[in-house]
Amino acid sequence: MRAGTAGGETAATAESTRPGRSAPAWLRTLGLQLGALVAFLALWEGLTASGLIAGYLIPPASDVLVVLWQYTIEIFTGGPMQQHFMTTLIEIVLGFLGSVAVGVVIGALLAEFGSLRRAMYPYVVAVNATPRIAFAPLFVIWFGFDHLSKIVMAIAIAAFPVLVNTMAGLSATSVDDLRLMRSLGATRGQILRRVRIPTALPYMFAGFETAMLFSAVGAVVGEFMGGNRGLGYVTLLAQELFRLDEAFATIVLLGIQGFVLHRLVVIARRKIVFWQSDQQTPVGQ
Amino acid sequence: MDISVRDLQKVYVTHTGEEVVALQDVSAEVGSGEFVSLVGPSGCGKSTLLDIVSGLTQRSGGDVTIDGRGVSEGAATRHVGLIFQKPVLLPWRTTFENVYLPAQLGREPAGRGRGDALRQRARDLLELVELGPFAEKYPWELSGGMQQRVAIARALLLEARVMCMDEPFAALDEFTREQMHLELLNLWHAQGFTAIFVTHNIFEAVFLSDRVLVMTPRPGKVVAEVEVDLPRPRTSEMIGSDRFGENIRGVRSVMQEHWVA
Repeated sequence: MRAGTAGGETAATAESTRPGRSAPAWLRTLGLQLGALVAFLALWEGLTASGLIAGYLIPPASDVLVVLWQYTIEIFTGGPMQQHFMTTLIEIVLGFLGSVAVGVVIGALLAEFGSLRRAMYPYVVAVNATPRIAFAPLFVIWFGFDHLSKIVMAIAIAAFPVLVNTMAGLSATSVDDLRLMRSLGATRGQILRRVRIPTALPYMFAGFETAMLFSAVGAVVGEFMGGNRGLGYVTLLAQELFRLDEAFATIVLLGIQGFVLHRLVVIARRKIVFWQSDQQTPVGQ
Repeated sequence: MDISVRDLQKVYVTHTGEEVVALQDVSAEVGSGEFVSLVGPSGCGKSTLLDIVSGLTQRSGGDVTIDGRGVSEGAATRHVGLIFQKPVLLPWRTTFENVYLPAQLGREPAGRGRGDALRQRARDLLELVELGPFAEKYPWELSGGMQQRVAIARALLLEARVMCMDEPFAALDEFTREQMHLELLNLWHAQGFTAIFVTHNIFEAVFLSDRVLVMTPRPGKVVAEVEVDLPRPRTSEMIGSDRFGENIRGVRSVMQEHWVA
């Protein structure tokens, strides 16, 4: 069950309502975070400008920021970068949705049917242990050069945390809850709908958060292995051509995509699994 | 509704295959509307006995009837309300929704008409346990005592004629527990259900009950019954009185008599 309050946030709100206080805690935290970023960039610039780090290994922060700005403008005004950005974004999102669908369905089936679980689980573990990256060229042969092979790659990696967490979640119903439902004469379907699924949701969302990150990895790997569009493709090309400022800038864009998408899943989790405090979130696979 | 237990036996088979006799030749009669406590040390089978009476566990031998009708696993749920040591509220449902839960379960969940009546009853029960203003709150926003009161309201939703309570106040602090005793007795006076209350706390048993059934372990058996000689309604003032003390001593001496063996 949730702890009494939301910890720091509530305390901060209480503080900030007093007149004459300095800025609220969240603003102070944001200031610290931005300050850390500025400090990091300054350090980077200093190291490259002074020549302590060779410019051909790591480009100066200022160069990267210039390219990044250029790319940002292109994304918003329809330049070539926009297509690459959207390509990867679509691959990640569709890969995520696909991994959720596959992971939840198979996870639920394995949770419900004991003999199926006993038969299949070792193979699930084995496939999960196999680096799916090894399949990347094969996926290009099977699914082509276009979006599909990247989406399949994303699903191949991201479905597993969803599957495992769904299985764990559906088995996590407490003995007390089951005893309560039995004492009230609940049918199997009622127990599933009213207790087992809500109990599983925190686990499933932990899996979804991981799946989003893994989907991004899968999409980029897919683009590395065989593609002609997308941020992964661009950064690979840039690295091969030793245009490291472009490579870094593209990687930053990938990071922003991943961060925002992951954040969306977290927001969805807090909305849907409203009864769980963040401290209790079961750690995903 | 009255409850009749005759020569009840419960045997468990452990995972290693050995048989454990949890209850042997347990017999007891509880009159309709009576408040009876089961006391005994841990492991004496009092919770098992309660589980069998409420239909959660199947007996191995003997007879259990409620109002003349035999009780078996899964069958007796409609007339029996259960309260456990943990309130077991569902955290994704509000207080009101938790009280209303029993209406939505079972082979025939409440439809429109009956549903509205039961919704009203849920609201009334929440008022009765003095949690009316908390109807839209979630369980984590309530204290342990308040959650247990929600559990009591829930147990009363479908007009149970028998309330089986398994150490419901064991996890509460002393002050809350005293308060809950008085509230429980008020509810009992108002609703008139038959109450079986399991506890290891002799004071609690004496304060609440008409009769105290003493159990000993290995195998679980009801070895004695002690009538509680205190007037109704019970009040907090009675607690320190000599008469109360005599009742306590009465139960304790019975227990000691049977424990040495």
